Amino acid sequence: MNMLRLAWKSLLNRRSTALLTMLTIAVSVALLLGVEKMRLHARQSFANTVSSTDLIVGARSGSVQLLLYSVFRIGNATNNISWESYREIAALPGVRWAIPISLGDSHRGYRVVGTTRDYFEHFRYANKRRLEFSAGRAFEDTYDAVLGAEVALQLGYQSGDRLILTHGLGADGLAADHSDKPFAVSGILAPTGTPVDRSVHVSLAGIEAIHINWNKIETNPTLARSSSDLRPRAITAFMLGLDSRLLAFKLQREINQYAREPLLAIFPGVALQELWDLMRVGEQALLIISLLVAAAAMVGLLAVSLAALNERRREMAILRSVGASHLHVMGLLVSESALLTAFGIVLGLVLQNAVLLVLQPWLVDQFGLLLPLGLPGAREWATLGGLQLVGILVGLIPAWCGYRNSLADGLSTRL
Amino acid sequence: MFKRSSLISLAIICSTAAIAQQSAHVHGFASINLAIDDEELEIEFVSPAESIVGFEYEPSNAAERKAVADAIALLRDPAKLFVLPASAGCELNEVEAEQHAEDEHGEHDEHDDEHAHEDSDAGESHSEFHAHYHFECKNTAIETIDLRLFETWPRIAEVRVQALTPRGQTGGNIDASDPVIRLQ
Repeated sequence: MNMLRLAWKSLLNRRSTALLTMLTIAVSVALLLGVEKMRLHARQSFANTVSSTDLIVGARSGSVQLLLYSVFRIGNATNNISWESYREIAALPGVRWAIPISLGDSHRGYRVVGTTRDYFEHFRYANKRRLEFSAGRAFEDTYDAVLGAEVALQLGYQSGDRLILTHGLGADGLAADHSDKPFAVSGILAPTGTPVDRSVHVSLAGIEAIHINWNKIETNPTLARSSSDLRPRAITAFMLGLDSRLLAFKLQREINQYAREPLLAIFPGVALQELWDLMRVGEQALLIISLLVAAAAMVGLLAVSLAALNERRREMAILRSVGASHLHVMGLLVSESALLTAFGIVLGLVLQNAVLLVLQPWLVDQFGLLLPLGLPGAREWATLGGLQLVGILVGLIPAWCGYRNSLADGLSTRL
Repeated sequence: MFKRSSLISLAIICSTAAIAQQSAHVHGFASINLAIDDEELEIEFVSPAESIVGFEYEPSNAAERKAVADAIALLRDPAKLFVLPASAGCELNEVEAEQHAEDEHGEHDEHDDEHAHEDSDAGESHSEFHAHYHFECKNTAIETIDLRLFETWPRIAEVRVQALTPRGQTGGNIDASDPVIRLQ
């Protein structure tokens, strides 16, 4: 204990270099923990986005691409699929529910999702949780819209407010406004931590209504309102829930061999696994980089300790003269290094959470990634323990040099 | 009750039909589809015939015919492919194994084009072994399934697994270095 106090006082004496060394360690710890947190929770967060959906069907492309645009609203579909195909497949025996999805429009940067009321009935996220309304209810009219929690919060909408949807994905003013056909907010969903929060949901008829005559100057909303032309012609993708998982492979084959048009049916969980397999190389690269940064921080610690050693020959000699043994002096040097590492780790934990606190809204907004604050898990503690051990071992090197010096110098040091 | 049994028969009738049309035919690369629902476990296995018996043409002599018959006999024994944990208490109550010639379905256009003028009997067709197993299990909370098929058929280098369980879906490629299917 005495030793640690002495080490602490000694560090205070050289506080600027000590602080900088500690900061270097803290940054490397924050990076290491950040990468680990990203790795663990990105997976969790993505896996939470879709639950209980057995199959997702879209135009034939890659399974990962279909997963990304249909579930995560990342990227765009290569092709639409016909409404007739959807109706036919949704009516196949063994299909319990089907949710059509029509993408391609936006509202002030948020994606518009055309769907049916089945979406609110059957869609599940996280651990089989269903969507809940924090206000209002599902859309009924063609010009009703249901907002995700974040859309409502960020844009300040409440039930009954009117909003204007944009054709295409551009920001307002760049793409064509459908200002002739304002939508009314019928309901707002409770937060889910998934891309649903960032979506505006309207009926499929609503999507058709946006597109009817949208390039013509003369408008006649009443015509569109009453017209049976609002029957959808094409959708982007659909989700299927089945009566039994045992039917899934057979149904997948049936859909993939569908004669009317080229379709692709994927298992979202399997496609997600494929995506992780693709990303594994990147994850490992990040992990290696963060480990190297930690190694660099440790080398920095060693450099600072060794550099200080020379300036501290007198300090060592005085300690020896007042009765400190060689072991004491060595212990002092090791304690300093251990203390610096320990403080660096604590500061790194704080730093990582602070950075996350600032970045969290942006991460959720841009990538749908919900990375929780808090202390790391067992694996990270083990890594940090390893780092602390390295910190102590690094302290042994200046301790050994200090011992050698004090042998050579004795009390005869002349500075 | 009626619904359940009709579902089972539906699944059994259809599940061995032409499984591989969505995945390319690659020698040494087999696939396993696995689904668990209630107390039922269903496993489909598909492998290129080359990886099982070493050839894909119609067997032309007694030795080759025997090789195919032996392979089908092996496939009818699920223990040659995988081992289910004893704790699951699974009982095999349905098994099918057969050989499929793939070009019957008119798939693999590029292949057909390449060999348009060759007779497919001349040993240019792809063929596959399909097997299908249906189990009733006491406890379907199965965590791992050990694969034995790499020992039974060393020519199989990799298996693509797709698994659908009450806890979710998972998938990936498995090779002989770690022959275990992990269901979360």
